Amino acid sequence: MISTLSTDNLTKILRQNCFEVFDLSLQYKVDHDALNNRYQQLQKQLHPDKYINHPDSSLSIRVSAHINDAYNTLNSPLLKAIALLEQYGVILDLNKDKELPISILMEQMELYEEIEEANHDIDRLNALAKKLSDNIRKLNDKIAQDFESMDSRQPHGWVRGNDIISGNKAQPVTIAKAGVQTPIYNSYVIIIEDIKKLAFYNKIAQQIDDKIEESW
Amino acid sequence: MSITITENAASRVKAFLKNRGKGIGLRLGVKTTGCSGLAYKLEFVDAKSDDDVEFESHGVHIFIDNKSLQFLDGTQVDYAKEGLQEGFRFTNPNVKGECGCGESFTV
Amino acid sequence: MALLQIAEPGSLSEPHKRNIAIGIDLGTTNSLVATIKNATPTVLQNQDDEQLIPSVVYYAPDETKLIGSPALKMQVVDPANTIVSIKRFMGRSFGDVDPTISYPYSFAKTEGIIEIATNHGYKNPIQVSADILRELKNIAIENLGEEPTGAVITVPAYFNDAQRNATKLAAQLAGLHVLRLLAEPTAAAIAYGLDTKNEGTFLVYDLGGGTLDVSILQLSNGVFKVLAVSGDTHLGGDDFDHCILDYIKDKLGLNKISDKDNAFLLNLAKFIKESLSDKQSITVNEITPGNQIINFILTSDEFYTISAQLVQKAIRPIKKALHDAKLDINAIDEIIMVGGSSRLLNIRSQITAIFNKPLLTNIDPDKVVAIGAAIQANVLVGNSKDDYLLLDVTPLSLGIETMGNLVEKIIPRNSTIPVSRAQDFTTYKDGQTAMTIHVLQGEREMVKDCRSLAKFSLKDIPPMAAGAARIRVTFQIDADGLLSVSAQEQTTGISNSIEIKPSFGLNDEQIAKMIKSSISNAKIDMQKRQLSEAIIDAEALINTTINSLSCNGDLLEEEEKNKINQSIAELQTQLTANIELTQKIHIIKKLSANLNEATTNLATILMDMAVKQGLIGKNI
Repeated sequence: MISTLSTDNLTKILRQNCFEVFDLSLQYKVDHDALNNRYQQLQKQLHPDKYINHPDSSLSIRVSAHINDAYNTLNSPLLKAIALLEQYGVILDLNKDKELPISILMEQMELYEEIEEANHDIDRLNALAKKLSDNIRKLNDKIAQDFESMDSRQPHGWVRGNDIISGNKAQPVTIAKAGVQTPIYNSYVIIIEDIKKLAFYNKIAQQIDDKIEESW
Repeated sequence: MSITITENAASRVKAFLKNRGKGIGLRLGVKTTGCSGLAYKLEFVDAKSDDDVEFESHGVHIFIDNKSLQFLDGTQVDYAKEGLQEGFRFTNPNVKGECGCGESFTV
Repeated sequence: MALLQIAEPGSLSEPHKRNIAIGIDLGTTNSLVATIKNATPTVLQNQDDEQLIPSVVYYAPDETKLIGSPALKMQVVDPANTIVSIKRFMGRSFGDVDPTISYPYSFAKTEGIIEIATNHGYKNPIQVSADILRELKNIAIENLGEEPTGAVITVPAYFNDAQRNATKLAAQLAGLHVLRLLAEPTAAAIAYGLDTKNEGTFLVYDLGGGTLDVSILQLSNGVFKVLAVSGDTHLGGDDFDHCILDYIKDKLGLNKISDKDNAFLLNLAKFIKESLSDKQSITVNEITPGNQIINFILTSDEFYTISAQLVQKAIRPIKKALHDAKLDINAIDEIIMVGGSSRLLNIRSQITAIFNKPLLTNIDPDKVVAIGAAIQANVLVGNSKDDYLLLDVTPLSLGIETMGNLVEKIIPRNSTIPVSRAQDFTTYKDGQTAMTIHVLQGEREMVKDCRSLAKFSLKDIPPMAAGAARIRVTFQIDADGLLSVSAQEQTTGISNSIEIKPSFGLNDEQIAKMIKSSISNAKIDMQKRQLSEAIIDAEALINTTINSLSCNGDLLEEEEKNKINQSIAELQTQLTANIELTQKIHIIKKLSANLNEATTNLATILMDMAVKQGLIGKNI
């Protein structure tokens, strides 16, 4: 039987980011076996089911939720990319920063047209969903490369870079604000664009999904 | 008069004693509570009492107080796994009835 | 016997002092209570040896109420005061009542919670459910001789926050300590999964009397993770009953019939449905209480035809669950069938055809949920050494109202619980000091299509320029699937935190009233428990005494023996006496004490003998 954690250890976990929680290094490629093992091990220790009638039961709800959130983040390419970028000092808030990169405006119009035309034809919708998921996979690989090339060049430079770009960690960084045309800041721009593109693909995939569901 | 313990149970007792770091054996006893009259007790022993009867089985020293012995004579102690639980099981020839939960019995 | 652990010297706890945990399946049609006895999950029986207790409450013209089978018998006699399938109304308001179904009840025309007029006044679904739960608790006490430490209550996986809250409150009113609300299909998976210990992916198909749940779970490394749930809270075996009822009425031209005849025919329809689970056709020849002659033949083929639409509706959630879990049909290793209505042959053949696999039905579909709940309850109170863990999900998305009556999703459905999400809000006017937040549950985009859970105001926001205030609202869903909301103003550092519990259509006054009336019930419960304990103790005493007398009775004088026998007889007659509760407890305790006193001498003699024998043993 695994023992429960102390109050101090529980609150410590609450302050950890999603990589720290699972003892993972700060990189985009995640070892999913290690992640799953650590996730299961942690939940077995601190899930509220292990804190029935315990003074820390409500704290354990918060910590368990934090672990679930971290796990969810690392399993979603989009959330993981945003979280990793944050570790380099850039807060990307897609709710506020909705502007799409020009490079995908054409693609956006095409995709919307195709969805419109597919209407409720389940086969065409499935084909579109397949196309989207291929796009997402390719983009995912590219984002991994983006991060790797940044890592190899200057893994710790980003914190300073961010000071220059936004001046304040709490403010969202926009591409327009990034602006500066040095190699490092260029890769900033590239990665932010790719993440926005991924968010856009996800949104379209969700729309197709909803339409497929409606057609049942 | 005899009390026996299976080899499997003996090895578990020895392991438990070793983990505990002290103790000279295992105490078996009965208490007069429970819904069917009597209940078993099972404890580590640190020192022998004056009214204890001592047995040895598979290298484990078993201590039973005089009053309990009449209810336990002939008992065999085994170590068993049942579904999700494991623990020691008493096979007691004197038992005539058990309560629903199996924690107490009548003789 | 129970398996024992070695204790530290002198520290041994009294027997029966361990935690007694029960699992309760509070069903639409039947309810069950189970516990772990001698390491084996056991469904407990009531005094009439029933395990399936009909979820029916009858409120008689006098003070009495009947629960279970006796209440069910009253359905035909007095349908208006016999509340059946109350689970369908849990967490719902009067506006939610399906107008196409004819109910024999008169509902209060209120805005909030549903209230049904009975001989005992207006009863809401929480109170009726509490009456059923109290009966189950008493069955547990009668069987176990003491009050359970805690209970796991199962709910349909697809129950929303209001329905879960209503269930938890009902359990609390019944005097139960709720360890956890557990999704029914998850409970079934626990019963099967821990039975076979097979790792893999399970699909649970749970068709009960009133609800349908489909869950997909994965068991690996001792962690049971729910991947997706889907279902229909408005579909169950009852619908098939009504389908047959409509067929009968249609076929025989019975448009206007009395409530009594309707109740009679509904029971008949249920019987026909159950018969067609193992027969090709059924010949009906009955006369209703209102002297209508019912005479026809229904074949299973005809039944399939008239219920084809329902079956279609009952299959759809499988597709949705697979889709949500991002799995295809081949990824499912086992299909577990749960709920009485999963016996319907047309449902079974459809599902077998979809997966091309045999269905798991070896644990009784009526009992598997209660068994799983009992296993989980036993783990939660710490009786089990097993370190498996259950990770469930929230079945419905949680969102808030935004501009234009739209819902913005904050926590998507099928998120593993517990889960919490924070969202920042700001003011849109200068000096604004309050704002309203409307929390909803559901998958649709418009506010009106989702279930409103709570509407609350954030007050005392420090006056600032528009957009300057930052209020962080945290939405948390706990392991019971229940929502709580807290809010905090960020920029000023004023920690003005609030805690809101959704009220699901009940106001504070109503809750207070319900709690008050449940206290008087709790007193009766306590007395019942004391009586049950006194009887068990007395029976044990009688047994021990009789045994000692038969072995060693010759050691006593005839007079003393007679006195003991007389005490036994006196006590025995009172055990079954039909007298008032408190009086009975008092008499049994007094007579038990008398018997104890009468056997003092016998006990001393026996102890001396034992000591002597013990010494002999030592000498040998």
